[in-house]
Amino acid sequence: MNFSLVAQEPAQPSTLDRTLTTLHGVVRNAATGEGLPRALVRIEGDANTGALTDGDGRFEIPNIPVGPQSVGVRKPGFRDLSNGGEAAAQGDQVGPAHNVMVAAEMPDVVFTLAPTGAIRGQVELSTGDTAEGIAVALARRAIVDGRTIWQAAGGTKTRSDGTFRFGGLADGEYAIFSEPSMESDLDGTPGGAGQRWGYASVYYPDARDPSGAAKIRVANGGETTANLLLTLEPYQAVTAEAVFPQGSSASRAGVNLSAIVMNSAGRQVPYQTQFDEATHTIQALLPDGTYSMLVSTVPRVQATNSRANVSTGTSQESDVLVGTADFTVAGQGVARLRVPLSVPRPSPVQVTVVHNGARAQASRNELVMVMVSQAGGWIDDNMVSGYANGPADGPLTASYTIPGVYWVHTHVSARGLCEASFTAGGAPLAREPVRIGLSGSTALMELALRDDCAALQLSLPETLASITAGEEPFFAVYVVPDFDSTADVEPVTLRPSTGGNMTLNGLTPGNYHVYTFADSVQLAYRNREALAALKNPGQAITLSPGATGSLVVEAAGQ
Amino acid sequence: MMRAFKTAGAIMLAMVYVATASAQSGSSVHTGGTGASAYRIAGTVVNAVTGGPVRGATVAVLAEEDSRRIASAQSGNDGRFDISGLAAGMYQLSASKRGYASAFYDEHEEFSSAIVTGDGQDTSGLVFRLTPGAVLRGVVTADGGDPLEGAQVMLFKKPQGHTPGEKIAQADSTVTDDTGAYEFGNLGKGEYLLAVKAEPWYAMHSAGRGSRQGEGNRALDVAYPITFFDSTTDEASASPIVLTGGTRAEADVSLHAVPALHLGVEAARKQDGSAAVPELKQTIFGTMLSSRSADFMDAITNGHAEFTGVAPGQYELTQGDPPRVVELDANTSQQVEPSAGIPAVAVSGTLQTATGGSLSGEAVVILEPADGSQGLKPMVSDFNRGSFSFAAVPAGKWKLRAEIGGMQAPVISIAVGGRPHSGNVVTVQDRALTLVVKVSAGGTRVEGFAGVVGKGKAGVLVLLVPKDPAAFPELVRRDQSNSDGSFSMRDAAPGQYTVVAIEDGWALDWTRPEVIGRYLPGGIAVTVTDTMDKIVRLSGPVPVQGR
Repeated sequence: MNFSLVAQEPAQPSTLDRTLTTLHGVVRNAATGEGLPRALVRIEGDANTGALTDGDGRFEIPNIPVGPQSVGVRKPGFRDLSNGGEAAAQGDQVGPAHNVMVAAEMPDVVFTLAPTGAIRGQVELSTGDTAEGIAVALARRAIVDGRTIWQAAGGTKTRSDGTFRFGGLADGEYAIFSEPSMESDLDGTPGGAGQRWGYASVYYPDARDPSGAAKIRVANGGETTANLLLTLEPYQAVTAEAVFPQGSSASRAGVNLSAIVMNSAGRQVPYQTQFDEATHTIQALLPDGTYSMLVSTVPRVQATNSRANVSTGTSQESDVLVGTADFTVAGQGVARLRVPLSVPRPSPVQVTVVHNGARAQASRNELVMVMVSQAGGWIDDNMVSGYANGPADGPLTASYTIPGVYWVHTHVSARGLCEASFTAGGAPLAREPVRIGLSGSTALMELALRDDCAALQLSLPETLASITAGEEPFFAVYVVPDFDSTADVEPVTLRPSTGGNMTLNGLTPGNYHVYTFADSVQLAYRNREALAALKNPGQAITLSPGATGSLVVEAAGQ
Repeated sequence: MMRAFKTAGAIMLAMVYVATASAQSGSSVHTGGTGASAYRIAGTVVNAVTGGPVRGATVAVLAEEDSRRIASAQSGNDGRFDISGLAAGMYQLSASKRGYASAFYDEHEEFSSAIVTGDGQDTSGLVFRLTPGAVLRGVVTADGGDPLEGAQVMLFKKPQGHTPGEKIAQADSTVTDDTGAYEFGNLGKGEYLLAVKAEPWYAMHSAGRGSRQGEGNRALDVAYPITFFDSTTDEASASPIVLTGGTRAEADVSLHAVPALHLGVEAARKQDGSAAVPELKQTIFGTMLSSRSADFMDAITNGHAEFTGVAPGQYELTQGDPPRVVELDANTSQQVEPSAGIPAVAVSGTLQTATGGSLSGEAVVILEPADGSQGLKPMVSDFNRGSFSFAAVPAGKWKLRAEIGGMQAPVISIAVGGRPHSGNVVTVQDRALTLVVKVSAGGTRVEGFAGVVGKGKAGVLVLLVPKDPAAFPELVRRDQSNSDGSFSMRDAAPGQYTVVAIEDGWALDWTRPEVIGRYLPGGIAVTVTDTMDKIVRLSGPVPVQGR
């Protein structure tokens, strides 16, 4: 969605001739409603001004200039979830600031902090040894780009007694799993002779695969236990060699190889691989299972990292050769796995522009960018990388992306153009993820744009449009299309202090529901059932081609 | 055998998603010729503390040159391991087991005994001792007994061996969890010191003394002084924690917030008009803990700067141009006089080999306070393409050392301003110095056998002791004899030496001439010259003397 945010900067308060007053109020524990002692309330950006709450949770900060102030509230063991809760849940201890309009003779300002929870556990080993130094990872259920996924939320190592602990957790759903671990220091590096032993990943309670991970609920700052049992098993040596294409100028000598190992679901698994220059082979140690190895040459470009780079050019990637090979480890090693390499040439994305409006021919410097994120509901899914980009009248040049199944996100930065439809082999990409192989999408990707886009002006009701004293309310507004679209819906924040209105441009004409929350909410807007289950039914609006609609939002609770 | 670094223990088992191109040097051929793979290495892995067998330990035979894994085995319930089918040759033997410190065979400090297989070599009755790791854990609390989350807990270890110049070194560092708990696992035996550094979570440090700082905010303008176990803020009063194999010790530390100090400093202008930004460093047990620069904008626009939120303690402040180093025992807020401190000068020069060649590798020059120099702290140079430099060395007497690739390189000569200088103590006054430092990096090796003819002695301390007592102990070289009695001492500087072999000699303070002196008559004389071959082989075995 091509937003153009009409944000108005708050007027800079003059530091001269200001009336001073006392900011006072109370900090409450969200779980009990009681006043929270020894919480810090401070004026952000001012090292001079702050106070700790007293035994009843009350605070008073004298000599505050009247006018808008940014206030931070914190206490160890608690999180400020009232504003931007998602950000706070991801480890920002300080929490977001509250916009407070300070006025003379103002009433109490009330802030609320939620207690944080913890997950602790004991790892046991089948050998009976104490499980010291086992890496344990935490994942959190989160909503990213309208979809619910597991998101990496931390890692730790077991202590000398085999226990681990994740503290400071916001309420929510979590998963715990152990990272693969070799039995001994000496077994860590592939290569050389001798049997290796180790432990494969275990997902709490006892699954070998992420699909079997149980949701661990943390609520009201409680502590939950999640124990893991790891079973020692042999790790087998896998040796792979790259087969270079005939006539390729790339030769074995002088080219290094890198490899990642993926499971049968096309998901990268954390087993180490090593390139041995002397034998020009890739070596890995793996427990029994079915895998795929993705090998790439590594001059200049870190092809395997493309997910982390939002690449806008493809010039460097022509040098990279990549290849995959499937294999199974079952009770014995795999020698000489042959991985044929080739230059990846992803097929381009076709673009058609439907001319309904008065728009002139697309300018060459107006771009359309197609981003992808791994589909499947497990860690890393929020990692978005560039897949294809090009001029608004297409075609879009695709760049090499690690094979897998991806959700598509389209960003049209051409003024006056918006998405009409986006399909792969006829299937709508808003509902069906695309399968990407070494030569790009296996089905033809077709993006249709239209030039009769609509706009929507959102505004707060009169009664909320101004504030005289106390914490300023703010509203998160999601404008969700009722039809398929691969454009991400970014929530719009409306505040009285920024005029309480905003105009969204570049919207595809059609029917929408507008959801307004008096809080910062991550909305699973791509999940129709989740939307239907909301207490907030949303406001329906139809945007006509080429027209600007307007809507006064109705704020409702979550 | 001596190792440049501890290979096995350093292997990281952490998640490595993509391992790229770790260049292995050419593969070594150890499979040997036909019929040569008839040798075995066998023995028992035992707990060094209890003497009991260690089951399920991984024992690996590694190539001596590049640590490539040749073969491995798991020890059985009786601790026994047996690796056969080996070619005649020299191998490193390494063992590893969860809960124990991974080790090479018969490891002492950076030495161990390589296993030599071949005709006449009995390598089937080895006793491989693994030391269970020690654990140190505890809880850090703040005023009122509240657990302190996010406190930095630093573990220091007192020197164990007798290597010259060895000091208290930081062994590990961790951060307390939300219950204030910390733990250091898998620690070796030794004497440890614990320090905790933290900032009160509610601290607010206002700049500009006396501005609109109300009574209420003084309560928030607080800091925790660095606090040592057992809850003292005085470094000298830190209680050592003695750990042996398998010890599980607890050390709790409580921190108390005190008013934070404000240090005002003048920011002088340099000749080029830029500001000399003051810098405040804190050092504990000889390790620099933190270094912060004053606000650059303050310094450039106001000509003065202020350090806020400073906990009372010992600091080193660098101010002015040329820089002056001020030792601050800060207990109150203060304005530091521009004239305070010892002026520092630049010391730079080149580091060369004995024959005048330049050193381009990873090398540093280290200045340590010479005997009798009060208030000075060791300094490590910058190094780039054979040239070293210290930006600001305070006046005083300094002992100069050099390290190449982390190894001590003996200093053979020093020239100051083009003139030869006697000894390795340099006096810094009010003028910059340019030095030419020559070190021995010739790589001459002295090789031989400990024992009697035809019967080598394993695990013996071998010392290469210079004839010239003045050179002692920087030029001493050490090794541990291998299973066949062989040894090899690297980087011997030109000179006359005596080689001595001492059984169970590891506890001896060999740095003291009076300790080693009694063994010298039983040693073998050897001369190393610059023009010699890279390897000096002793013609006869070195007799092994009892301790």
